[in-house]
Amino acid sequence: MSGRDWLAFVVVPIVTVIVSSGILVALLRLPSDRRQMAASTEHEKASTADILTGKALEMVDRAQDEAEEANIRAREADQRAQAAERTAGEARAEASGARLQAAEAVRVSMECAAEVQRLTMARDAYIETIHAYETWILARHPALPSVARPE
Amino acid sequence: MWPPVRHPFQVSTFVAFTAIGFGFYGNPGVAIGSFLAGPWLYVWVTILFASGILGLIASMTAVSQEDVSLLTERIALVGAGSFCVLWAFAIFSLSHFHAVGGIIIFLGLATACWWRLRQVQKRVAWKKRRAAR
Repeated sequence: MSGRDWLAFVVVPIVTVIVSSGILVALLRLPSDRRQMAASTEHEKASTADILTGKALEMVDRAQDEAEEANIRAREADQRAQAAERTAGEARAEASGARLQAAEAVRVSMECAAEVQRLTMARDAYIETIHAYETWILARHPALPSVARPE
Repeated sequence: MWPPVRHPFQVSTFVAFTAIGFGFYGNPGVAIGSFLAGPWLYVWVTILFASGILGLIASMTAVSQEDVSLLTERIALVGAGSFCVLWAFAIFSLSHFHAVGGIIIFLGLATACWWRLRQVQKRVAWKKRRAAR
């Protein structure tokens, strides 16, 4: 029996029978296999629903936590804003006090300058009077005492 | 991961198998016609044609009914993969290594069918295990 005959009369028929019987058996078992697999599909759908529900609950919890944290941060920000407003008010009062003091200082300095000017003018008048007296005294040639320092 | 999609390569391959199987009823071609004789020829052409039809059913139900898709694809891959191996043998028997390109193509197709069959079988077994839990 040649190789080709072996192939044509033994191998091909055996392979043909194996393949076609396998296909027929698989076709006949298709409904039962499908029933077995359908149970896992329902299980998967239920698991998916559970997972999604769990995830949704997690998301709700997380949203609530974040809302609470946001409220706390808002309250703290309000308190900081109020403290900043108080500080700003105190600073404004201090600035206005400083402006009043500056105005007072300017007024006092102006009064001092006026007083200095008045005293200067008075001094000049006194000096002129003293010179006038000196001139009158020297014009009469009095015997003046010696004021030389003793040696 | 198992994305249930309608793969275009799968659809086009099974369309080709269906068309070739239908055509082989009238004219089986030189390689197959000289390799297979008598009733064996029509059995194999029927296997190829049925595999093509089942593969198209698998593609159409891939998204909506995964179970039907997997089971019909399993059968289609066995039939198509076996026919591709047979076809490679037929070409070799006729032309030996003068038609090595054709041999490589059909052996490659057969490899793809058996590889995909392994993936499908793993998924079917997994689903059955999950159902049994």
